[in-house]
Amino acid sequence: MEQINKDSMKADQQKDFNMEITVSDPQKRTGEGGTSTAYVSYQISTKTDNPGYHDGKFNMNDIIVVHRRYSDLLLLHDVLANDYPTCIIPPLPDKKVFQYIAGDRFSQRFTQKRSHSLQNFLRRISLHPTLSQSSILKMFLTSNDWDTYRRSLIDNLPSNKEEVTDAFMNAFKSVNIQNDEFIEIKERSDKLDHTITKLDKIFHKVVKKNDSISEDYVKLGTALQELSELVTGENDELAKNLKIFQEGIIQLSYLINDLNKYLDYDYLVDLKDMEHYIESMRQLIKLKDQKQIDYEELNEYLTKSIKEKDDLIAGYGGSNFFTNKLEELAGISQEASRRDKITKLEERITSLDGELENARKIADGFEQETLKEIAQFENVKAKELKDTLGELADENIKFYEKMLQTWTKVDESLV
Amino acid sequence: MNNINIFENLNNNKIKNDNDEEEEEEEEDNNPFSGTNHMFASGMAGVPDIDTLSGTTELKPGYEYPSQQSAENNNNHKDTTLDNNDSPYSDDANLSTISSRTHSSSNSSDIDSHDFHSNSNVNSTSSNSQYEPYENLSLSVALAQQQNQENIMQDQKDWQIKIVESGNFNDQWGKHTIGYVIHYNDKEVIRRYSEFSSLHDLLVKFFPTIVVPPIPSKHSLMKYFLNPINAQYDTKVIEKRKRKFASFLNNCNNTPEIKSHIIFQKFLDPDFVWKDVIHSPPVTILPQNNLLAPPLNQVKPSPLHPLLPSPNTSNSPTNSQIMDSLKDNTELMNVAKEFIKIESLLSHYLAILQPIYNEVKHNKFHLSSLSGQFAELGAFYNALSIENLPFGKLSSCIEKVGRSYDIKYVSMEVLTEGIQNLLEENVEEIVKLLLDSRRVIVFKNMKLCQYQIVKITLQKRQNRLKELNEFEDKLNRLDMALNRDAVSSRTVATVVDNLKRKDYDNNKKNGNTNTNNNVESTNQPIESNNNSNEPDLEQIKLEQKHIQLQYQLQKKRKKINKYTSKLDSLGPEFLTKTERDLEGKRIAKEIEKLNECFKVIQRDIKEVNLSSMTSLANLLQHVQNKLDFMLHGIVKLILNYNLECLNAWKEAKSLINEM
Repeated sequence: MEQINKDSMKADQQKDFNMEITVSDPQKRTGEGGTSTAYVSYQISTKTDNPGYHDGKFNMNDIIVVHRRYSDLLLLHDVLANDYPTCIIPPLPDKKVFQYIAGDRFSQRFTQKRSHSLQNFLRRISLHPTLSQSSILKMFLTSNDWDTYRRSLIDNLPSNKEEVTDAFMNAFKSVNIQNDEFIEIKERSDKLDHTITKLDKIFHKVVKKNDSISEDYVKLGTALQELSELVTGENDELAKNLKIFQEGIIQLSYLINDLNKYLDYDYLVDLKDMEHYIESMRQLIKLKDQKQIDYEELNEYLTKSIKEKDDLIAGYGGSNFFTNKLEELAGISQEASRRDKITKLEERITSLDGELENARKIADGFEQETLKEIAQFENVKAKELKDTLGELADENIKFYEKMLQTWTKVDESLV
Repeated sequence: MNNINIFENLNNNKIKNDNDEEEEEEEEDNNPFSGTNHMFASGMAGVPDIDTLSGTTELKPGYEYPSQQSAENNNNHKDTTLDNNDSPYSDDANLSTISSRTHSSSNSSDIDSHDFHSNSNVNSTSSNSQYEPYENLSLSVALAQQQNQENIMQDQKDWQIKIVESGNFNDQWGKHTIGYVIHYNDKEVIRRYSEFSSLHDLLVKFFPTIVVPPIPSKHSLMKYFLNPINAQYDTKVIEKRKRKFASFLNNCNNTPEIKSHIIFQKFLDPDFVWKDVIHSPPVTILPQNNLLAPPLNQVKPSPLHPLLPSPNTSNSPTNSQIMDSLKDNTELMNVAKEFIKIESLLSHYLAILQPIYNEVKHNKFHLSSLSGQFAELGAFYNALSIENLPFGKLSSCIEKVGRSYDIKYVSMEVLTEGIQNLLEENVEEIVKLLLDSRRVIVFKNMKLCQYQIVKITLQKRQNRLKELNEFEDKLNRLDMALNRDAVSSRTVATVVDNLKRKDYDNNKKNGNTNTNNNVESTNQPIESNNNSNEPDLEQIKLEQKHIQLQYQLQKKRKKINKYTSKLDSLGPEFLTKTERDLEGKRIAKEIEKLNECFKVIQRDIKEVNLSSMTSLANLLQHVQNKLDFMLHGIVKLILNYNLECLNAWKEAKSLINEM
């Protein structure tokens, strides 16, 4: 708890540093050492004004470049998840098992998309006030000793199985008194998720359609070429026009391909990552609910105990008339056992009180932290939406400008 | 009105000329149709003749409609046409009055139905707007669409015929159908799909040498299957047909031959009920076989055309066959070469344009589904924008992106519609025209075939006649030689006597039996020749040889006769004099007829070649013009689309940058 506070304090002080991370140039590598398994290495370049990253030795404008593979990022993710349970750890792209089976793991399309997704992951971390300050991130982004560092880490990583089972046990319980704010957050995230998923699906279709349209134009282009050749000699003017038009169509087909590449490799990945990010946020909310459920259960137990005690004190509680009669017949001193019970209950109540207070603190703290995280999430989301929409607009503008240029030229050259 | 009168007068004059010419021809010929002559006459009254002056297929300016006609005076028009009808039926006045009555009655019902239609039209237009996807357009997009329409309109600027509306109406039998209101010369007439279709079929029959503009194809069976009740009321299909019918009528109108044809004129004239038109001349007197009638005027009576051979259309000659057969006629050969060139060009066009048509159709489907996806994207971005309302600026940015997609969607719809109107429909029309051009080419080839058959037959007959005559000459020469020598040689004189006697015997025998039993008679001269030892030995030897030959051939002829019984398939030396004479006379007659036929077919060929060539060349020009027009139009469409989208995105981007 305090640890978290301290960390966030530190983050508050240091968050002015800029950090720009780019993941690029996926390269197929054959396995190091004896293992012959191939993997893909990504070039990760960091540009930051944080002096800690430069060890004071380098110029601030230097770009720090390291090469990492997917499993490295996975490790980073897991370590962060363990270290900062109250943070929304940005999700990594899926392992995509079927890609392995299809032997498509090293295709340009796959690695390009993944590299974009990994970049999203690292950028989200770098935007996060707490996560961006973690030393492991610095290690990951700068160190040449990462490989050895990783090997020592990987074997001794604590498992978080317990949490999983816990969460599973409580999967069907829900919070009794839900904060209105959270209800709203949940609703909003549901809606957002729904919309983004839909957009994702439609863009998938758009990409497919664009592909077939581009194909159409290639075919149309060849037919027009033939037509132009046929008309040559017969009507040279028309032949020339057809040729010009045909070139325009081919250009159109290229431009569609370019735009489509952007949509497929970048925009769709962004949407998918957004979906995952929303999912991570929901997980955090679930965890928060978990803490609250713990507190509520404890509270319930306490109220029960207090009520039992009160009943005993009042003389009626705890047992019914017949049991009292029986105990009376058996010669058991009711009064003594009652007093005994009451003292036991009082002990339990005081200890419960302490625990409850503790649980409440944890739950409240968690809730606060979660709200902060969600605010952070919203920031990242807003920034990403802005950025991706900006890129989308840019790409579209680029596309239409080139189109306009091409077709204006065609229009002018037509006789 | 005056114009019409002039036109009608022209018609009448022409017809008179026609009649005169026909009569002249008929005097010369023994018209096999003399019994059915009135049928032609009645047809002729209705058909203004184009090719009265044989050979000249130039279009007479008098035949063109004066471009502007104010023809609101229907009565006058009707009267004159009825006058036309009257002349053939002059002795049967009742018929014409009946027909005039049906006309007037149908007129009133037409007007009724039109009234009904104009009411229903309000409905149809209002329901149309329901389907309009552009209800809440931004101004810019509305402008784009307008421009799009202008683009298409440009093509139709010179269109004189317009399809004003379409909608439900009840025909005179109370049947509920879809009608298309044709506006032409300030007159409106409603025609149905089936009527368009029958007009097209008729035009194809009337003009074997002219490429007839296509009409839209029938509803696919699939559509009926999917939506049996509403298929024919599909507004999109009706709109498409409206455009295509307008294009069809105007293309017809731009083809002078079709424009001046009475059937086409009647189609545009509200005074005529189409059902009556297709059940009266000239439709009813269309010949069964278009090869056996004057090629440029199928219903013009011609006694000679039915005598022409009718080659089987299924084995139309190939180009190389045609070239082979025309080796001896350089003029026709050159024309044929020209045809082959244009034909291969047209078929190449077809081979390229057909796949393009399919491609464009595919592309249209793809584009329209893409535009649907854009619409969805627009909707979901708007949803996203509403969800992000608390973020203020971001929300409006997202909204702008959504709007960009909305505009993309609408522009894409406009583009798709433009592609359909401009590219798909035009390419389809061209493909259909190219397909129809094959009909013209086949007809032309069949005509050539006909020409060839007549020519060869004529040659055969002429050869035969020559053969016969030559043989006769030879015999005459022989006779003369014999007679000359008989004066100086007794032996020869005896031979001549013998021959004469034999001839006499032969004639007698032939007169009785008329069989080919000449063996005895030919035996005798050989015997008699044995007596001769006189000087003109060579001559006699020659004769002897000849007679011996004849004897042998006579024997052969007996053998041949087992296989063939026709005399004219035998060499003239197998025939007796009477047979030769008979055949000679017969052949001379045949040749006379054949010569006439040959003249007819030669003229036909010239007409067909000229008319087909003009039509095909026009088609080629039309195709090229259309292609050029399409290119320009499409480029404009694409530019418009790009401009719209670019502006929308730039707007969105500037807002994003403000953040």
